[in-house]
Amino acid sequence: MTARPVVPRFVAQDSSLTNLQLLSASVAFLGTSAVGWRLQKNGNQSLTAGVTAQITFGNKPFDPDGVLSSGAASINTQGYYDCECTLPFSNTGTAGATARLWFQVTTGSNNPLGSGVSLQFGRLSDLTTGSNDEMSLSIKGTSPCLYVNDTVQVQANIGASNVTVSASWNNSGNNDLAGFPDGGAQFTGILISEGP
Amino acid sequence: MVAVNKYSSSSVAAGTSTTIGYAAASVWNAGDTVVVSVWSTSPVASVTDSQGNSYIPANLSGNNSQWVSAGATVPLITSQHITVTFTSSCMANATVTTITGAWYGGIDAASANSGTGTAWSVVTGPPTYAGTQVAIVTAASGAGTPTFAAGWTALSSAHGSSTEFINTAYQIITGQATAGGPVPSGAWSAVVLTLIVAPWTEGTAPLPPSQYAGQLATSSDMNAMAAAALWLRRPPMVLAQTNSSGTGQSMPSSGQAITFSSILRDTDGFFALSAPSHLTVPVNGIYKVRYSVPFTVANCQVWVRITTGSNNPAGAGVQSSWWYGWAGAGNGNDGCVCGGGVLPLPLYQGDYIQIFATPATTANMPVSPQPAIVSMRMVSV
Repeated sequence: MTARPVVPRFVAQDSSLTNLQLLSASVAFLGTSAVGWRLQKNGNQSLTAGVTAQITFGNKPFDPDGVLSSGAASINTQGYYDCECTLPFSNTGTAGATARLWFQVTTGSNNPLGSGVSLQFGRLSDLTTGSNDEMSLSIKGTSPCLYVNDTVQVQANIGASNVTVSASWNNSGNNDLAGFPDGGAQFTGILISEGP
Repeated sequence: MVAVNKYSSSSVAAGTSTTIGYAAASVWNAGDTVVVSVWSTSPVASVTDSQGNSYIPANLSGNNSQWVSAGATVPLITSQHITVTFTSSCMANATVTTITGAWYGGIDAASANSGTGTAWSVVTGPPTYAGTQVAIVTAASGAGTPTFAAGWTALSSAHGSSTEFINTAYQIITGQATAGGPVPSGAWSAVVLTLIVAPWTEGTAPLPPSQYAGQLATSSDMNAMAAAALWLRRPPMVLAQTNSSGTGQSMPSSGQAITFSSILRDTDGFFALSAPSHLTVPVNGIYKVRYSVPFTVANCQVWVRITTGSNNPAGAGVQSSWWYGWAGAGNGNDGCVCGGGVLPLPLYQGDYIQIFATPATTANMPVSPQPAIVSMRMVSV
């Protein structure tokens, strides 16, 4: 958990080193010490046509707040987050099937809404383009105020059959045009404001 | 200048109702922050009012909850009401407090406590701002009306036909809020929250002061820097959504701006009920917009439109459109367009954005599984 430093208040002739350090920590809190995460898939994941599934992430190249839990982000610092996710699909199956992707919040015991409440944001629902196409979906959105122990999952429901979410485009032989790695499934979140 | 006022209170006995109404009163100024404190035997599902102001849950513990208005409010007029809706029929008490001068983005610490005996108490956790805050506390007891220790000013109490007694008070504080007082012997519970009083004029950016070599920093300088830090940690931001129940907005195939019905966060009064499709810039700067807009027809296009105001060097009424998004889903399916980005033009106070949608055919916007959600946030002065 990232401690939220108190923004201090100074008085005349104030010689408090603590206050000065609190001011420094306050500036650092959002300015130089990002609170957030970047999670990656650590394996391919097959999806069943028309069935909603959590897209699970196992690697954490950036996770200073220790959010990765059960393939999702378990919030440790209260606030509003900008979230983004991109998923490469190895096969979109039938053309014209609906591909749905969204962020799913499940509230925890610290949320004033109570535990177990489900909320969605950043939803995208679009058509697949054709059999054997390579396809990538990206979603982005601003979360509601998230409290410690709330979780944010990426969920998908793809209408087409035989769809696999690739852990890495390279693993499926999909380098960019120059042959360089072009990333893979990513799920990011960055704290943009304290709240509520 | 901060002013805290009693507004009203009400109660219902078990099984009589799932809502509580409040008659209008005079002490509610345009733009005030409103705190609704509730004690109920069933959870509160929502708090609404006749004007359409939005309320967000800020504190919840056991039978107690506190709901705070999001952004600038429009006062109720005679015969209008605030309605607290519960998940099931229950016994409940509630009080309403109006506050002039609290920062809309400044809901800070919230806490709860419960116990048994002849004295109640509740203390907030560490605040995120050591400057001036308004603390609102509500204590409840089945044995009689709780009262307050010195320093707290009582506002409203409620009992009615309920078997529970609640009482609400406020105090202007710095640091943690510590509340307590005597109560008739028995079980008690209490909730408290604090609202930051912004140390700058709303609509301005509290920039750090410039310093020169050898300057002795004054407390004013240091507090200006602290204000800038506070502001950066809660930058100007609005998070708005459309209807999440009932019938969604009718969207013509010719295109129309979506209308927001619920505000989840509004630090600086971006949203006004008088123009519910507008999100108006409160402070000059660069802004980022995110949108996710659902539809149920073959496809839909969505974009952000900027309209300049009188402070913009381009003059008022200049429109431009940005960040187009499109999705197809097939008739009857739950399509949704997701898009947005940093708006490429600096925006000035009074400029506003709208989110336009053009579905392939005229249809109502769906309300589930997700309503349209839009955020707008300053990313740079």
